[in-house]
Amino acid sequence: MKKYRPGVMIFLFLVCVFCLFPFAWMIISSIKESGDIMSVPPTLVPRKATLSHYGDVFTKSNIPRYFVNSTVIAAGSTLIALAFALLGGYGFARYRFKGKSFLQNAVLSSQMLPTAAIIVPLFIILRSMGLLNTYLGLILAYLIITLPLSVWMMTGYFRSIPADIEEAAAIDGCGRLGILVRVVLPISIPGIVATAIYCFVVTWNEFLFALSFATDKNVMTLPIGLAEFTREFTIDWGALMAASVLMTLPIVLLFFTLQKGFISGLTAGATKG
Amino acid sequence: MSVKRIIWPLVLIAATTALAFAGGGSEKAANQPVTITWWAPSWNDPRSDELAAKFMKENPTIKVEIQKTVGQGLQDKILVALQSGSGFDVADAAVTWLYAYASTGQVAALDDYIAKSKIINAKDFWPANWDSGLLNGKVYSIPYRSEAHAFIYNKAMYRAAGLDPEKPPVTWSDLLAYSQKLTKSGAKPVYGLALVGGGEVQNILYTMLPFIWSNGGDIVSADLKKCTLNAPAAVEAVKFYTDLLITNKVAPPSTLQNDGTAMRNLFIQEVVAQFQQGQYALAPIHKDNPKIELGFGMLPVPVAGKKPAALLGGWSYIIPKASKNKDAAWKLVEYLSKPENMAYYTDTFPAAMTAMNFPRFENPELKAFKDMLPYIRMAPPLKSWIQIMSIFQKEVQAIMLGQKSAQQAMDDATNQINSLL
Amino acid sequence: MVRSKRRSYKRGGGIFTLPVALFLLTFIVYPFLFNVRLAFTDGGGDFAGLVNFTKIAADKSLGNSFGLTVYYVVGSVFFQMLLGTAVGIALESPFKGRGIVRSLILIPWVLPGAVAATTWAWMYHGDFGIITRFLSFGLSGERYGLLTRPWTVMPALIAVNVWKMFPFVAVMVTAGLQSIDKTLYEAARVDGAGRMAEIRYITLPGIRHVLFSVLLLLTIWGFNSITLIFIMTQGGPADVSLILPLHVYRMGFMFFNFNTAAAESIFLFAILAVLIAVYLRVFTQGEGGDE
Repeated sequence: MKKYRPGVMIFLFLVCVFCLFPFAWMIISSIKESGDIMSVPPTLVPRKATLSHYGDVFTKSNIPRYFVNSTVIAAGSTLIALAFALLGGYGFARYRFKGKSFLQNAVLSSQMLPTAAIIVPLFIILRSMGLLNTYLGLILAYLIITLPLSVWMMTGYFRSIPADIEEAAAIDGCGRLGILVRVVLPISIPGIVATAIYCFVVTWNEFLFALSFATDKNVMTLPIGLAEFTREFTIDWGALMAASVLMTLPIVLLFFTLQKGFISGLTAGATKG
Repeated sequence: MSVKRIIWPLVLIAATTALAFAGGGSEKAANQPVTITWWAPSWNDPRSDELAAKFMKENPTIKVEIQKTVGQGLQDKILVALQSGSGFDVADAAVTWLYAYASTGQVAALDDYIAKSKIINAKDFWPANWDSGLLNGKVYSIPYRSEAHAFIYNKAMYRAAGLDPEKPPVTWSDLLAYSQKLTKSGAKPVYGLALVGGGEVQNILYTMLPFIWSNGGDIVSADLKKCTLNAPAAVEAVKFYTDLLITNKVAPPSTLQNDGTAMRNLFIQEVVAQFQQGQYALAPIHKDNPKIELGFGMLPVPVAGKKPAALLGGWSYIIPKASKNKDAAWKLVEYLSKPENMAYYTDTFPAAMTAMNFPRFENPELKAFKDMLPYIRMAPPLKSWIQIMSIFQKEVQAIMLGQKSAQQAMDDATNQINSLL
Repeated sequence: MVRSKRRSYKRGGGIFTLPVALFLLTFIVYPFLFNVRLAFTDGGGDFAGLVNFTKIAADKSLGNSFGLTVYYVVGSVFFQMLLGTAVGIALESPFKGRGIVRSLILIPWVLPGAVAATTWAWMYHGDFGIITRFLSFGLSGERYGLLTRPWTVMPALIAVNVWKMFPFVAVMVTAGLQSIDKTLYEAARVDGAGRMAEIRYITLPGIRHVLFSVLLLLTIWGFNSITLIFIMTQGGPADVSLILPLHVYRMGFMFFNFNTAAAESIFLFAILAVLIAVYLRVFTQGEGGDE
C-alpha cells in the first residue's frame, strides 16, 4: 500500500475541490465590500478586498466571548461523553447480560428522536436543578445528543478488536478495568479520535439547546452569535461569512492534530501465541 | 416580513398541563422593589437600553433586565415561554404571532389596565394594529410599531427607458406597460419588476394580498367560513401577478426562489427597476448602493379610483398571564407607549397615530409609506391562517411553474382551504 | 484453541453500561410517550382514538412526501456511503500532506448546517449564484437556477446533502480501517492479489461493522433531516421537495396542529423502526447472538 498512485491523487484532488469550493466562496465573500457581496453576476474576485467584516466580528459582535464559551462547553461535553462511551461501549461489546439488547436498542432509538422533542422536559429539569444558563447545564444537555452515538461508535469499535489480546492480558493477571485501560485503550485510539471529533463538532454547531438554555452572553455559544448577524430584514452577509470562517478553522486545526492518532494500533505479533 | 425561522424549533406543549408550570404566588405589593425581564429584539438595540434606563430613573423601585432576542426562533421561544410559565414579563412580538399567542390563554388580558391608563387609548392607534391584538373582544397586546409596503423604483432606469421619473405607475396597466419598457434582454438582462415566488410564506402574502385586496377579492369571506380564492376578483389578481412572470416575462426567472430580501438585493444590483417593500428597505439600499436615485409611490390599483391595500406589519408588547410582576410590566409598557418614546423606539412608524408628529417621520422618502398607512388591513384572525398561506403559496408556485392555470390553481386552493375552515 | 469472542460475565457488565442507560432512558422514554399521547388525543387534550391517524391516511400530500423522502434518502445515502468510503480508503496510503487533506475534507461536515445551506442556496440562485453562472457559461437564454426547475431541485438538494455528510463517513471509515490486521494485506500480496482484490476481500469486510453502523445512522439522519431543505427551498417550489420530516415540522410548528403532527411523527418512527429491523436482520446474520 505504499505505492504512489496518480489515479488516487487525482481523485482526492477532485474531492478536495468539491469540499472546498463553497468554503472558498464564503472566504471570498467575507473579504468583499458589502455592496459587492450580492453582485449580479457573481464574481470570484472582489472588486476591492477588505478585512472590515473580520474587524466587525472581533470588535462589534459577541463572537469573541461566544468563542470562549463554545470551547469550554464543547471540550467539557466531549471529554465526559468519551468517558461514558468508553465504559458503556466496552460493556456492550464484551459482556452478555440481561436486557443488553433492549438497552442497545434504546440507545439506538434515541437517535431517531429529533432534538425538538426533548427541549421542554429538559428545560424544566435544568431549571429545577438551577443549571439554566450555566456551562455545566449545557454540557449535560449536550451529552444527551452525543452520548448515544458515542456509545454506539465505541461499541462497534471495541467489537472489531479481537478478544485474544485481552485474553492474553488476563492470563497475565490484569483485572477487567486494568485490561480496559492498559491494553484496549491504546489500540482504540482511532475509534476514540473519531468519537471525539464527532462529539466536538456536534456540540460546537448546535443551536437549539444553546438558544433555549443560555440566556446571557457569558454562556451563549457561537451558533447564536451567527444568528445575531441576521437582523429583522437584513443579514450582515460579510460578518456572517467572516464569523463562519472563523468558526470552522479551529476544528479543522483540531482534527489535524487529532488525526495523527489514526495510526494503526494493531500490528502483527500482538496476538501470537 | 422575513424574520428567519430556525430549523428545529422549540416544541409547543399545547395539551398537557403537566408541563405548564403555572406560576403560583401573589403579585408583589406595588411599592416593593421588583425586577422585570424584557425580551427586546436585538435590532432595537441600543434604543431599548436607553428607554429602560430612563424608565428606571423615573421608577426607582423597578429594575428592568433586558434580554436581547435574536430573530431566529423567536416566535417559538416566546411560545414555549408562555406555555412553561416563565421567561419574561414583557416581550416584543410581531403582529402576525399575536393571534396564536392569545389563543394559548397564557397571555394577560390588558383591558383593566387600559381602562385606568391615561396614556394608552384604543382610538389613538391605527385600527388594523389595535385589532390585531384582540381576541373575543379582549385586548391582549399593545402595538408600538406599524408599517406597510409601498412601491419603490429606480429613477435612473426610468429615464433610460423613456419614462417620467417623477410618475410611478398608478394602475395595473401602467405597471405592466412600464415594466415592459424597463425590461431588456441581452448579455446582462434587466427586468422591470421584482416579484416574490419563494421563501417563507409571509413574503408572498405581503406582496400578493395587496393585489387581491385592491381588486375587491379576499382569501376568506367576511364571516371567515368560506374560502373565496376562486372568486373572479381574486383569480383576476392572481392571474395578473403570475402573468407578469410567465407571460409578460417582466420579472426575473429566479422569482421562484426569491423572497423579500432577494427582491431588494436584485434592486440594489439594478437587475430590477421596481419592487414593493416596507421602509426598512431604505437603509440597506442606501448602504449597499448609495448612488441609486429612489422614487416612491403608492401600491398600484387595478383601475383608477380603486383604493390601494397593504397587509399589516408591525410589533406589539405582550405580558404573560403567569408573570409575577404584571403591574410593573404594565408600567414599562405604558412608559414605552408615550408618543415620544414610541416614536423613538420604532424602526418604521409608530402604531399610534398620535405619535406620528415627529421630525424623523417627515423625511420625504417616507411619504409614500406614510400615505399607505391608512390602507393597512390585517390578516383574518384564523387558527389555520398559516396553513392557509402555505396552501396558497404552493398553488401560486404551481402556476409559476406552468403546471396549472390560475383558475385551476385557485380552485384547488379553495378546496383545500375549505376543508380547514 | 477456538474460544467464543465474548465472555459471559453475569455480573459487572451492567456496571459499565448502567450510567449511560439511566441517563438516556430519562430523556428518551418520556418525550416519546408524550408524543404518543399527543397522537391519540385531540386539540383539547381529550382522548380521540384513531382520529388523527385516519386524518393523515386521507392526506394525499403525505403520500407524496413519503415518496420524496425515499428518493432523497436513497439518493443521499448511496452517494454519501460511496464517496465517503472511497475517500477513506484512498487516504489509507500515506503520502505527503495526507494529514492536511484529511483535515480539509472535514470542512463540509464542520460548517454549521444553517450557514452551509444558506451559502448553497445562494450559489444555486438564478441571479446571484456562482454555480448558475458556471453552468450557463457560454449559453445564451435563461439562466438555469437549479432550485427553480422541478426536475433539478431534488438532485441539487441531494448533492448538498452528500457534500455535507460524506466526510463523516470518511472519518468513520478511516478509524475502522486502523483495526484491520495489517498482516492480512501482506499475506494477500504474497498471494499476488492486486489492489482491487485487496479492497474487496480484506478492506471492505474488515470495516463491515463500521459500514453497517454508518449506513444505519445516515438513514436515520436522512429521515429526520430538515435543516438543508427548509433553508434552501422550504419544501418547494410547489411542494416538490417536501420530504416527510419537513411535512411533520410544518404540521406541528407552522400550522400548530400538534396532534396531527404527533400522529405523523409516529408514522415516521414506525417506518424507521421497520427499516432498522430489516437492516439488523440483513446485516447481522452470523453475528454472535446477544440474547
